[in-house]
Amino acid sequence: MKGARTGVGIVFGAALGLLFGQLLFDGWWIGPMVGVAAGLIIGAITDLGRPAGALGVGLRATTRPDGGEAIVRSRSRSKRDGRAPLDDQHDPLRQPRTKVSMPHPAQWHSRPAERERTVSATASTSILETEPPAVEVEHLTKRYGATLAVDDLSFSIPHGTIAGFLGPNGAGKTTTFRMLVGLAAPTSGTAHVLGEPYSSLSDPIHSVGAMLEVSGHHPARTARNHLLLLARTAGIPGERVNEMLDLVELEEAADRAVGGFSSGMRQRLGLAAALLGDPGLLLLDEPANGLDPKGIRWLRGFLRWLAHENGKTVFVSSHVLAEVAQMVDEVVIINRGRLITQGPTDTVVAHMGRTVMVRSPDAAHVAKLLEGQEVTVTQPDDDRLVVSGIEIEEVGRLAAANNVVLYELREQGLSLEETFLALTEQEGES
Amino acid sequence: MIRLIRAELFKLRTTRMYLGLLVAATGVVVLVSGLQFALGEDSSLTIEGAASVIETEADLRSVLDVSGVAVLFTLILGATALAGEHRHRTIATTFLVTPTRSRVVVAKVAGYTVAGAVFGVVVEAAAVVVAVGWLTATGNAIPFGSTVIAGLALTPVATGLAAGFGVGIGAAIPNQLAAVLAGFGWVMLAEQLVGGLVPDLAQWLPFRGAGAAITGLNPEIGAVAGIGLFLAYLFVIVAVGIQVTRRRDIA
Repeated sequence: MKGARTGVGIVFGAALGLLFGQLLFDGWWIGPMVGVAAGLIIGAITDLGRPAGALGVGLRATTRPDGGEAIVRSRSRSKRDGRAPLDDQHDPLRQPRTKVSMPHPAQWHSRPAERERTVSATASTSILETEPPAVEVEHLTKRYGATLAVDDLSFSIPHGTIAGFLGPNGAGKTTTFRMLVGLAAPTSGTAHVLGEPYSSLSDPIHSVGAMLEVSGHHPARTARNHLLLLARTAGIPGERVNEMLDLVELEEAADRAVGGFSSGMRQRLGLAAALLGDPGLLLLDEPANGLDPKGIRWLRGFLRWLAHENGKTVFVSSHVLAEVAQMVDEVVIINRGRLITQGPTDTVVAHMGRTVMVRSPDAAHVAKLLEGQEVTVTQPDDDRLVVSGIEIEEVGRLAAANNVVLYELREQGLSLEETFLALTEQEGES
Repeated sequence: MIRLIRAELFKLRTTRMYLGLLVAATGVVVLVSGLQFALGEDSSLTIEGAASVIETEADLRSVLDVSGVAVLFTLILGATALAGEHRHRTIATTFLVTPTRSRVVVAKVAGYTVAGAVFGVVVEAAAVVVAVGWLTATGNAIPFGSTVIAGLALTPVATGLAAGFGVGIGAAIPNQLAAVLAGFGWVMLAEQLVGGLVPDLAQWLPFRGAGAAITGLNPEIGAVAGIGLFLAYLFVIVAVGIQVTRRRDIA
């Protein structure tokens, strides 16, 4: 870093010196001499860590904005950073934990949609003990003026999981994603991916693939060029672009300008971009938005395939629970910027408790009997009640004691959809 | 960093902005220098300081300096570098691949300076073709020598630096329209106003002073010092741009 500062100092000093040397002295040769002298002085000053006023701030900004710790990190990785692009492909440190092989997309649907965690799940258990979670958010808060977009949010996503980030529109999901990838700065708290802030990752595109609502495409650029651009910036070979276009079934439209793409095609292009570096962690913000039912089915199969067949960690947000309910192992539910609940999907549903369905010609009377107890009673039909917060046996005893005829008495579980609605509605009312 | 700069040049090649501005600038230069020759001494359009009869190298250089108008075009080109990414929302993707935003700004400044210099070469080539064509057609001798060569060499320097300066403006003002208007307003309005009110200051301004010095229109400073002065302004505006870009949330 010292050398770079000296270099910049010399160039800048030489420029200034040339200018003033030329003006103040008669004779062109004095200018460069004064310039080089000034450059050496400025270089020395900046190397001592005392930036020269506004100039110094600018120069430091071009080196590293994150302060001391980040500088130490970047130094420790400087060997890898200095490699030529082609070498990267053979660098085991740069290779993600899993590699996407390229079966035909039709295979996603033909594979059984098994829930069991295969190798990656077993591995993730041991990884958990030594590695930080794939996503870790702690006391994250983001305030825009008077609006609190994210409010003291904390959750974590373990490796090898496919997790849903759920909440109604405006709940703070996108803001959280933006903070996770460093596009927005938290007001307070931390948002880490793979154990560190996104901006500290030495090789972000090979570590985390993000598809955000906020990212767009230049309308005049073709899909292929959009991906080639990312590939070139990250030192990824061009063949990978063709593979990704094939994977998201965009190869035929690859050389058309993105401006003419349907929203479904754009979403697929966004997915291809996120997968380009073959990252182990995928952050997908509302990927189903703008997709037709067929597209949503495609996406679901695709994500399931990525997580279950390729061991990737997928964190996917949605405001429509049905889009992700069938494929997520974990859910994080937020509303109004606050965490409502987090955990394995089954546990969250179970935690919401089971409800008791009562069918009786005298349902209204049963409802009256339940008054005064700490239960929630809803009456979807004249002869039916749904009661939560009570054991089924107690309802039976209550009915018997009051000589109420029951046609049906059964315990039922809430679907994830109902759980989600119940949780977010409760929060909305409070 | 080299990879980032190459990526910036690739971005320019894959959209129409660069080519569009290049065609427009070349058209303006061909038109103006063509009129210059066609109307000669009778012209009220003749450019200030430009010779109407080409006899010496200085005369030829003064006519070729018309290509200096490309500076305004490359300034606008530069202003769209970051502001355009904000407009098309490609900036999020750019920062996802390169989270250290200052590196992105510096790569853009470097890339656009190169692209701006190439821009200057093309526009200048058009001016040369018009001049040589006219002189040959009218049977005049072509006064070619070091003065003309110096002029030819310096215009691309000016267009390149102007593009870099434009990137700084676009980094400091992320709204594309506002950035372009600021670039225009600075050159066409602010500098004219300041220069008019305080004539002594005019020769020190970025474009009326330093930029003009590079293209030979401000002999009081001279080309080399002009480059130095312009670089100083460039550093300041880029430093401001980096600070703004680093702090800004991407919505």
